[in-house]
Amino acid sequence: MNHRLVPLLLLLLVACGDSDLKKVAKGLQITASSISTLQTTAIEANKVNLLTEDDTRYLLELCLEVNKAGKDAVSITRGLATLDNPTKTQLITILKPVIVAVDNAVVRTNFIKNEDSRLKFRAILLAIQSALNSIQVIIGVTT
Amino acid sequence: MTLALALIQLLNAAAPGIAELVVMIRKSDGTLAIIPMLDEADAQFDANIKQAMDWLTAHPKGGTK
Repeated sequence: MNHRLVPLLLLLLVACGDSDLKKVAKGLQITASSISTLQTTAIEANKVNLLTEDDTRYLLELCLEVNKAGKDAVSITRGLATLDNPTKTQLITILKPVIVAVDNAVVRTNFIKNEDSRLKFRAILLAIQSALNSIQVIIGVTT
Repeated sequence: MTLALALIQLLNAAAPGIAELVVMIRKSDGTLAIIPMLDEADAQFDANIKQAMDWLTAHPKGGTK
């Protein structure tokens, strides 16, 4: 009986030693949800002429980039028991460009002329930036 | 400790399907629920992509609103 317990205990330890993985999954979940808010807010603001077509297009194209990178990151992370270095490198390659793009978008929110809208979009972008930064800290990206 | 022993007994009883059981434990334990979070994120990313593509298709660059 005992000889069967040892590998099972090891499996259990592996299953439990994944707090970094959990943080990455949570970061991706928050990113997806915040991007949804950004898209809906942009589309609604465009409908009432608070955001121009070009500004809305810029934001939605940025969102598309983040969504696609997010899906790739989910695909890589799914099925892992621990976050090893090769996986971290893969995640860095996928996420770094969108982290930079979101950073740029936060700076560029000045293009939004309506002050209320500008503050709203900046707040949502900061939430996305914060979620991506939390992943960045775990996988060790330095920009 | 009691919980860990119970889990081990459960795994022992179903040795052929250990990998699946580990996943089940991760799902049912609130602190290790990674897969449901990834599923939720993936579904949300899909919905986001559809919403953005629908708008961008309906509002082509250089087009008129």
